[in-house]
Amino acid sequence: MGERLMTPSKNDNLQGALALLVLKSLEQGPMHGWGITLHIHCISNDVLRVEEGSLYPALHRMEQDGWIASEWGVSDNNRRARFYRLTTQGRRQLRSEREHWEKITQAVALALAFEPA
Amino acid sequence: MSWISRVRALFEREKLEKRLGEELEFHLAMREQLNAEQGMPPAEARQNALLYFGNPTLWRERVSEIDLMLLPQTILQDLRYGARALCRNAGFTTVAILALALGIGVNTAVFTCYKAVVSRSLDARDPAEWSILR
Repeated sequence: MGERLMTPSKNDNLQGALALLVLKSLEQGPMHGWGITLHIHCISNDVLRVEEGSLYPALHRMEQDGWIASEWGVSDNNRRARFYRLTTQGRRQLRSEREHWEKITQAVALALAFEPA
Repeated sequence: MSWISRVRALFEREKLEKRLGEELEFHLAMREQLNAEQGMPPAEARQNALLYFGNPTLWRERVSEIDLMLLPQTILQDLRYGARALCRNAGFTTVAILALALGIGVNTAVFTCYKAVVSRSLDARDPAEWSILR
C-alpha cells in the first residue's frame, strides 16, 4: 500500500474530484458525512451534485488509505455520528492532489485558449 | 488459529455492518429533518431524502465490500502487535512459555504413567474370558 500514497489518484473522473473536495472540506476540522455533504453543496453553489450515498464508499476507502481517520461522536442535535478528520498523510495527499488538479485544469484551459494563427 | 480469526472476522463484520447502517441512517435522517423543517410532509420528506441519497442498499453493499477488505489487514496488525508485546515483556513471555511447557509435560507424563499402570489390558491370552471372584 505504501507506494500508492504519494502517487496522485486517478483524477480523470468525478471520483477523484470527490476525494479532493472531501479532503478540502475536512481541512476545516472534523465533520460527519452529512456535514461534508452540506459543506460541498454550500461552497460549490449547488453545481456539483452527485448521489449523496456515493460519498460513503469514498470516505471509507480514504480511511483505509490512511488519508482520513474516523471516530464516533455526538452531532449538534445530540445524535451519534461518525466524524472524519484529516490525518497528516491526508494533508500531504490534499497538497499533491490539488497540484495535480491544477495542472490538469491549466492544461485544459491552455488547450481551449489555443487559436491557430 | 485460522478458525479463531474466522470467528473474530464474523463478529467484526457484524459490528462493521451495524455501524455502517447507523452512519447511513444518520445521513438520511438529517436530510429528512431538513426537508421537514422546510415544510415537507413527513412521507415526502423521507422519499426526497432517499432520492438525494440514491439506493441505500446499493451504497451499503459498496461500503461493506471496502470495509471487509480491511479485516485481514487488521488481523495481521493484531498479530504483529501481539508478537511485539510478547517481545517487550520477555520476562512474562518466558514464564508463560515455561508454565505452558511444564503443564503440558506433566500432563503427558501423568497420563503415560496412568496408561502404563492402570489402564491396560490384562497379561492374558483371552482377558474377556476372565471373571472376578469374590
